[in-house]
Amino acid sequence: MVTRNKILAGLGILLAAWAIYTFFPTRTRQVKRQFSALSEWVSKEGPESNLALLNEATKADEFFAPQCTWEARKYDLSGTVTPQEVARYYFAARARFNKLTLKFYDLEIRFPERLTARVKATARITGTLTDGDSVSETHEVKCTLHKIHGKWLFGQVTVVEVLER
Amino acid sequence: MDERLRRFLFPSPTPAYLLRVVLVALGAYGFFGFVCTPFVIRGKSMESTYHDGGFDFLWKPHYLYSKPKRGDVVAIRLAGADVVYLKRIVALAGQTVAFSNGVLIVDGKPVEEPYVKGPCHWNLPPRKVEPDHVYVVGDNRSMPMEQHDFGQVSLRRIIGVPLW
Repeated sequence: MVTRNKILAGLGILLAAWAIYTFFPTRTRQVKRQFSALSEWVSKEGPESNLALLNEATKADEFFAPQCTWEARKYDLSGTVTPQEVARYYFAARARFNKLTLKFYDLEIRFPERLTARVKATARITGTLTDGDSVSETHEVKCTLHKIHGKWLFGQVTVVEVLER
Repeated sequence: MDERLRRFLFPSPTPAYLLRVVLVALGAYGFFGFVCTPFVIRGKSMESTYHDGGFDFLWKPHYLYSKPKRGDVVAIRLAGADVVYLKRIVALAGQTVAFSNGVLIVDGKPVEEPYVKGPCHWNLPPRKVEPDHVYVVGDNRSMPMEQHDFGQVSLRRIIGVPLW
């Protein structure tokens, strides 16, 4: 009986630990989850209907702050965009790909303020365009996320020029 | 089964044996995690010297007692060491580098590059490499220059060399 009680107590502790881990994530895990969700949102496995694409595009406000600043000198991209504008870019860019994968590596997360996260990471984009050409790009990115209404939203994205021509 | 062979294949978990297992595991973790890290090559920028999908080890202590020199193939870290660029150093700090119709020009003189196999038609105006930087380019010059990541990089980002 004692052994059975000990096993039940052990299982209870494990269950409680799992529940705390799952339902009360730390800020770091919340930010990591947001990066994972962004990867899933961007990636596509194969052709998709315009309706599905449109439906996905409307989720831009789940990832981006009302004003998100972009800076990528390599692509002559700089400025501030709204989630609606991101959705339009998402729709146009994604339609050009048959397959697309975005993955983040080496996430380094800091919290200079309670509701602000600064993240340094390596982003790798691979895919196949509709004309059959392959795309493979790797960049270091610096992002600032703000916690707005309980969600960590991207407020700034900068592509770091590791190699300067 | 021979007794010695049986003991070798199925050792008794004595404290000394478990200690050996732990030491070997820690040693392997330290060596392959921080000193000589295995990696897989993704991309074609170093063709034909290193092929897409190839396997190698990253030897990190290489520059502990020496400095990077021209012709070295180096690993360049990005945000961390999980994903790195593999490039060749073509010019050092203070040197001027340019491309003229596919020929690498360093300090005004053309450089012979036996590792470049395919045709190349790159053109790039001269630029001086800043202090504490080196200029790196991949060996695959057949791809369009716009699609090839190359340029000067801080020495602090160089984390080692491929073992072969």
